[in-house]
Amino acid sequence: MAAGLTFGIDVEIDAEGKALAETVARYPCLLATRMEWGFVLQGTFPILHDQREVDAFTVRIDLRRSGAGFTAALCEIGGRIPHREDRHIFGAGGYACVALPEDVYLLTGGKPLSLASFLDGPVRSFFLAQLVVERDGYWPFGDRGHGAHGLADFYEELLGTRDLSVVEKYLVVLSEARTYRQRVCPCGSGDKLRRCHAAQLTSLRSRVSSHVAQRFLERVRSALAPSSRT
Amino acid sequence: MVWVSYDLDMTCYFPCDDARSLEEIHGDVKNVLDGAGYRTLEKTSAIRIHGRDDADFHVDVVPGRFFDESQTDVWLHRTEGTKGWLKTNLDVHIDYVRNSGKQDAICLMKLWRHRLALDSFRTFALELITIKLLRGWTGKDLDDQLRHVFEELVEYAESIVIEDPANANNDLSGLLDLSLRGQLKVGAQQALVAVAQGDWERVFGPLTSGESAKRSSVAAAVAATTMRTKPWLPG
Repeated sequence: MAAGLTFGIDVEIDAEGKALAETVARYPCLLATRMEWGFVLQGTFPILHDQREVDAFTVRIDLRRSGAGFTAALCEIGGRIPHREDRHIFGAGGYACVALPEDVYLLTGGKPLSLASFLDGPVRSFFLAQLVVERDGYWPFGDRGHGAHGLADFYEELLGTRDLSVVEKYLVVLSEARTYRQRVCPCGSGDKLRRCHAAQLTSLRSRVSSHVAQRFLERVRSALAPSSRT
Repeated sequence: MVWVSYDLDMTCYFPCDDARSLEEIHGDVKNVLDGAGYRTLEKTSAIRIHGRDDADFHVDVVPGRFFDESQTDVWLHRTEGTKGWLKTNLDVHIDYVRNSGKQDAICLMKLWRHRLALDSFRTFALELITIKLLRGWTGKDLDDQLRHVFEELVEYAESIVIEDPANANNDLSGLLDLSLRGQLKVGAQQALVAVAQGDWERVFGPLTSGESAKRSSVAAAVAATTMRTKPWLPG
């Protein structure tokens, strides 16, 4: 695993456990257990459609305290999904890489997902996609390359470049409170920003807040760290 | 339909004149299984083996020694509890379950256990608890029986005591530790909430549907999905 590239998804759980109580009310076969480091949800995760269970997987979800919030990591423990990289399961623990955190940040504006949104969103999509792969052999919502390649895929769609060192320069600009048009363009052309990619960056600011860009920047720098290159 | 793993209990009893201690018998059986390439896991009285490819089945091998020539009662080694052994009789237990008239409820309780991934809730304990909670219960309908079991678990999971029908002196407290008791109570509470809404399927899963109907359901679910996240791998 890339040294600094974490795979957990930020999840918001209130201190009173209200979110957990609301969640298990919707998922009666998931049991929440309080641990020293957070919570474990374990049991059957149903894929619901029109209030009916289409299929189900046996799961364990570790919700670990991380800073002010929690980071969720999912394992399929029923032995149904092969522990293979091409099924997006890695490590001896059988962790499922439900989504690239950048994809989730972009969807949520950098805010942590609620526990219910995490289950209804990335977790449900992951297992639904696994069903299609199981039957028909393709990922219905697509899938990302592994490690830094997955990050590069993401930034190619967002910025038009796969070069993470260039991406880093873009993210430095986006993470600032405002865009200084007289600075050198991060694309590497040598031109001033106002004569180069100013319009693209202005457009990006509507999708990527400086807060989100900060989060992106941290992870790109982790991917660029020598020990994590893939 | 739910995906249920297959499991099997297999006895491995030695003659009553076998000179080895129960612990030695247990260890020797485990060594043979390890040597055969199985991945083994120590349970209270059994040795669980998984398929060599970690497929969806496991077998609990129960080593023991017959009590006498009649080959009915057996001594088992125990890795938990105050005593390192227990005397029991599998045939008595099987007859006890068979004659209880509660097999349908027991089957559904096993399905519930599977849905909660409560592997620590051993079949032996599950069967004895279900029968005990339904003893004297006159409701014939299965839904009434299960509702009653869940209600009783909410009330008594933290204090219930079970007895081995083959030997009342066996200490079975190790089968129900505090953590498991708490999980049974919470799980039963959650089940009752769903049942109160008439939603048994959320507790036990849907009735089996045909392959084409399932394929259509998956396709419809894919089409209706709005948060289409793509799986990734850290590298």
